[in-house]
Amino acid sequence: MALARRKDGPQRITIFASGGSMAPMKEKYFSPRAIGLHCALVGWVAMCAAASYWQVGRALQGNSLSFLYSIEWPCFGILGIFGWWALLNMEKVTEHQEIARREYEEKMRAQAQAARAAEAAREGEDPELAAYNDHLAALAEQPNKKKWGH
Amino acid sequence: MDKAFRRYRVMSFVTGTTLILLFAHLALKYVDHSLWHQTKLFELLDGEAHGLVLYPLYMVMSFQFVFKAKLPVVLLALMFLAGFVPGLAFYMEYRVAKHVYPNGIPAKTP
Repeated sequence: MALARRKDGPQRITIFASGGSMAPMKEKYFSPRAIGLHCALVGWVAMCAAASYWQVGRALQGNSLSFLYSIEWPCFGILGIFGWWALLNMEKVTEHQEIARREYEEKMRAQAQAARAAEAAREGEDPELAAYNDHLAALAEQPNKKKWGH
Repeated sequence: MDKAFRRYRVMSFVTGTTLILLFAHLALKYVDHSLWHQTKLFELLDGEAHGLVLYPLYMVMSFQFVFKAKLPVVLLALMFLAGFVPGLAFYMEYRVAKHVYPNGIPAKTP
């Protein structure tokens, strides 16, 4: 018996996450901005390669400063490739940053709540112990103060 | 983003200053040739500091700022070019600050 297709399951096999459509890729790599970035990358790498070639030639003629420049220019080219990649994936990066920020905010909120709960729990506490805890907290707030003798 | 802007601003001031000093020293050749010849070491030090260390740092900082402030990439190319013309880096920084922070640069927060 042939496998029955589940009604609630996927109706077609998807190879790409986009459901077989190339639209997101086209948007990412063939938008006017992306094409501008590709052109900028090609120009940049070509310039760095030409400058590296020039400086390597000068270094081989005995110019010791050109030796440094012939290392610097390839580094610039690699940095350009990194920049091209980063600018293409800018949205993704900022999404990560947004998630990180939200997580940080939630963490801080949880900490504040825990502190408030601890405050509430301390209401019926031994006053001597509370004073000692305050003393410890004050000490912790001045990390540079010498603590020996306490 | 504010931190990235401050780093970019510092680097634009520093590279702008070293570039102006370099060009001033080159102009000295036509004013006082013997003094220029005596202070050639300055040209070497300033030029190498500018070319090998400070200008690359300026490029990295301006890239970070453009990236974080989501500014158009053309502005990055303009920033790079401004680093080649003496004095233009200062003006570029002023224009960029006015564009990104029309109400003034926010105060430093710890």
